[in-house]
Amino acid sequence: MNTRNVFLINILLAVLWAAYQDQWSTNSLVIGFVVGYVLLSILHRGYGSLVFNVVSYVIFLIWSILKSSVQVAWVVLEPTLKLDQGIVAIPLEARTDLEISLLATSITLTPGTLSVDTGWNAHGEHVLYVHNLVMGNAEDVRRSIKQDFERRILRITRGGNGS
Amino acid sequence: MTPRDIVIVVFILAGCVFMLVSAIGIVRLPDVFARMHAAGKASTVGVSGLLLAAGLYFYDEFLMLRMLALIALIFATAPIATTAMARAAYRTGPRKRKHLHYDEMAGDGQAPQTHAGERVNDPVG
Repeated sequence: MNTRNVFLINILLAVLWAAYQDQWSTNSLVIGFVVGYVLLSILHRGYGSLVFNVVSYVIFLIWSILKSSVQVAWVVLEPTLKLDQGIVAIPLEARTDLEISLLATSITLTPGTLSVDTGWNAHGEHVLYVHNLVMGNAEDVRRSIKQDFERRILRITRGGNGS
Repeated sequence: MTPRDIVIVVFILAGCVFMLVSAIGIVRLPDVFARMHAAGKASTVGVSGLLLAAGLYFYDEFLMLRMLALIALIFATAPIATTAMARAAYRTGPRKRKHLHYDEMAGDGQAPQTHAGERVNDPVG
């Protein structure tokens, strides 16, 4: 049984749990989801770490959006604009459409970076072009995006520790 | 003021400040890409701050759930429009690229000197 079916069963367990309470409320739905999650993560190896990875990725994404929003706000409000714009090509390990679109959406959501296009570079690698407001060193940009975003997304979609 | 009021005021202030900053950014920044960075901030951080404040003020479980769903939908859709506009801006004229200090996309032959209406050879589709 794949993880999507397990997730549906988890939703079903949450609804059942809430339906057996005296009053329908969102709290009991959440409690039912947590109970079902604990049970299913014991039964299905891999399901527990998947949900954990998704939740930790969302928290990481919100944190990095807030952090870089403040940085971009500071760049905008400084008396003299210190812009260093540039487009960096990031070689992708992500292969499927889901992985690439998750990565591109996360990069665009984070202020200061903006994914422009995908394509192939001179070496024939599949790359994602990312526009940076304040760039610095191209290698640093490449490493931070691969470390922070791509590794976590691959951990979600491929399971285990990514690559 | 109860602590809840303080939290609501903080959310509203943060949302308004981010919207103001991105309006200033749209005026001050030099080119289309930099302006898109500023505009994206208003539509995600600013709006979600205001929605969270509204959800807390008229507090109700299902209203709060609706606000969270709205925020999730905004976060899922806004970047797609931004990416599409950035890609179009990059491909429709070399003039828009003059503020870029560093451009690996041009080095890879992805920057055709196109004119409007001319068909672009696009390997990705």
